[in-house]
Amino acid sequence: MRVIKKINNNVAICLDGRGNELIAFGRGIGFPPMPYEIDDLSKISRTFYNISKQYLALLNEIPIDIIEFTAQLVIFAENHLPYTLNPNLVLTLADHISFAIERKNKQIHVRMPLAFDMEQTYPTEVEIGRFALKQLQQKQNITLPENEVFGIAMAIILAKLGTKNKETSPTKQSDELLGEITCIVEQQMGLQISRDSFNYARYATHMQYLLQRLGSHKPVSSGNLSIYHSLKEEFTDVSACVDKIAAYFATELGATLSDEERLYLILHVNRICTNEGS
Amino acid sequence: MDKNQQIATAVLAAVGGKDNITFVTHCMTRLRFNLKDKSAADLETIKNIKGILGAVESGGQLQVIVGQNVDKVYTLVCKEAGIKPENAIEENLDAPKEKLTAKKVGNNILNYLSGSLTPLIPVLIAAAMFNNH
Repeated sequence: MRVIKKINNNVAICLDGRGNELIAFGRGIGFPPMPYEIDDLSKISRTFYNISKQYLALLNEIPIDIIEFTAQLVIFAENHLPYTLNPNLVLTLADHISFAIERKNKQIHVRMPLAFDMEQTYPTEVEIGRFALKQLQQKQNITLPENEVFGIAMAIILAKLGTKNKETSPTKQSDELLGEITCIVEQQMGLQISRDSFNYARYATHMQYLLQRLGSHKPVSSGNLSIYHSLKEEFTDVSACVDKIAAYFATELGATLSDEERLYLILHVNRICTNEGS
Repeated sequence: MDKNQQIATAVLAAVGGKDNITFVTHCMTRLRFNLKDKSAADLETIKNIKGILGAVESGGQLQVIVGQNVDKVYTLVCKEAGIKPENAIEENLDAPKEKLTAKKVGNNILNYLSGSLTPLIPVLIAAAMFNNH
């Protein structure tokens, strides 16, 4: 391997046998005059390919042991996620973790109101975040506050590059499904629903979780079922609209809506039409 | 020499030797290498090893498709390289592909939306459980 540019005494840019650039970490690797050949790979602890130029400066700003820790964490994440990750995640996440440590030392607290939603929607990423905190405690003797879990999870989520199994990548994203369902509601009820209201956000959240429940075959069951029949009679229009939504689920997703799910949909559709429809 | 040992020795050489390995683990059918110098590993040479079903680069990893005997080969690779073995990853990228019908497509969308397809390994869950707050 050809070492071509010093970043610091222990980090250097190299070229491999195919002429591809990489960053190499190793004790003293940046010390000799450049360029030189390195034959003994045991002198290198790890390497990073496909790092974008704008992140190279981080190599001199983040403590090297935090970068090494993050590199191992990213390998762990790659092995437990159904998608590939942006190769720059190592540096962006190391930067995040390094700053999280500063926050802790300066007692700066950050609120995470999305924590509950993230727990539901991205359980694996949140679990990896928890694992990261535990490892940080064990390996580096650093204890970060619990809600830093979600910052790490978010960094991972935003670094998603592409899915691993081509045949399981969805042809329709949940946003598209939500849009089409809302169109059905607008057509059925003959009105326009404003998309940027609080009520719409609540309705959209309900839809998200509904899609999740359908996917994991865990229909809601909470003893409210008896109300369904009285609501169905009282809100015939909305109920007919919900039946149309159920038909859409059946054809598009092969899923059946239980009566209890229909009950909640009646309530949500009724609310959104009353408040945000015009 | 044992068949698995032959595979292990050949794979180790073809990925550039033990000094070229940053990390190695395995899932249900594949060895997964994180290598220092990617140019020191040749995909074609690996694919031609007797007992190897294929090789692919994915997400910065070199994945060598071994088959059901992957855990035996993995243990031998670690032994020869002097590396401490890791727990297996509960993922099978080589499960037989099911034929897609309209209903399957719909279900796939729902499965995708319902969260990760990779189940969490027991260590992850145990780690979370032991973490008292």
